[in-house]
Amino acid sequence: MTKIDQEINLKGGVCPYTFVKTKLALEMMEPGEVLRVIVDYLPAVENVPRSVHNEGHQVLDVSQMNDSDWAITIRKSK
Amino acid sequence: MQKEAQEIEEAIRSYLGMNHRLAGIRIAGENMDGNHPAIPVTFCRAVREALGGKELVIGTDDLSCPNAELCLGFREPMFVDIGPRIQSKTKMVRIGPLDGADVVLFVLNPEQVMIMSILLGGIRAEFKGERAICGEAVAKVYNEGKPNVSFLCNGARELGGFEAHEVVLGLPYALFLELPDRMSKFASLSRSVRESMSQLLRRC
Repeated sequence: MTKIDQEINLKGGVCPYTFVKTKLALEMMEPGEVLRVIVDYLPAVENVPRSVHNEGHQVLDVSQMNDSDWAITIRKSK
Repeated sequence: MQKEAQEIEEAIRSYLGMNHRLAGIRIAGENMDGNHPAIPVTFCRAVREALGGKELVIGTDDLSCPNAELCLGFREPMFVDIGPRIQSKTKMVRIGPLDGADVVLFVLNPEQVMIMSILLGGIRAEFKGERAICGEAVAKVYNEGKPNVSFLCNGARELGGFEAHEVVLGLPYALFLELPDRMSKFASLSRSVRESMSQLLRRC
């Protein structure tokens, strides 16, 4: 199982703030570290992975946790 | 711009008392010549610039917002299906010129939307405050062939530069071409006539 270095709970957040907060969290992390982002806003399930991928980070997993919540796992690139 | 579209634009802007120009959106399955943005932009920002007269063509590499990539049909969703979205395989989107557009975008205030709804015989608006210009004002209108009013979204207001009093009407191009007849039918709703009628009403 991948070690999660940091987790942020963005439940209740909407676009574009879900991506902005994800990006800010990644900026504070070291390359290679893994961030898990929890969202409950469906557009963010698509947007956050795509946006961080476009920024050069690696999306490790996108999984539905329950009826409302999704977890997006991201490894920060160099 | 062909004369007809330009004349219609001038007429409706005068009729409504609009400050902004209209923005034509054309969805294409092939490449198009034109100016690309210098750096990736949000679709709503590109539309905002078109309101000032700029003409752009955008491909997926020109877009900085994944919402627009999905809504405009550049790619399929990977994890969840969210709509409205164009389901054709879009290659390019032209923003600005009205000739041959699929959808015409109007940036209006509530009173102007009221006037347009009378001209159009009513507008059944559906909006959610998400994926506003790309989804609610373009994709939905493109898919259904009916006008829609969007009250925009955080992205459009924060990143696209749209202001609190602005809403966007998306109109199928076929309806745009009917506007001269509709304005003739409701000549009393033109801005100049309404202003004189308002003065008259105040005296009653």
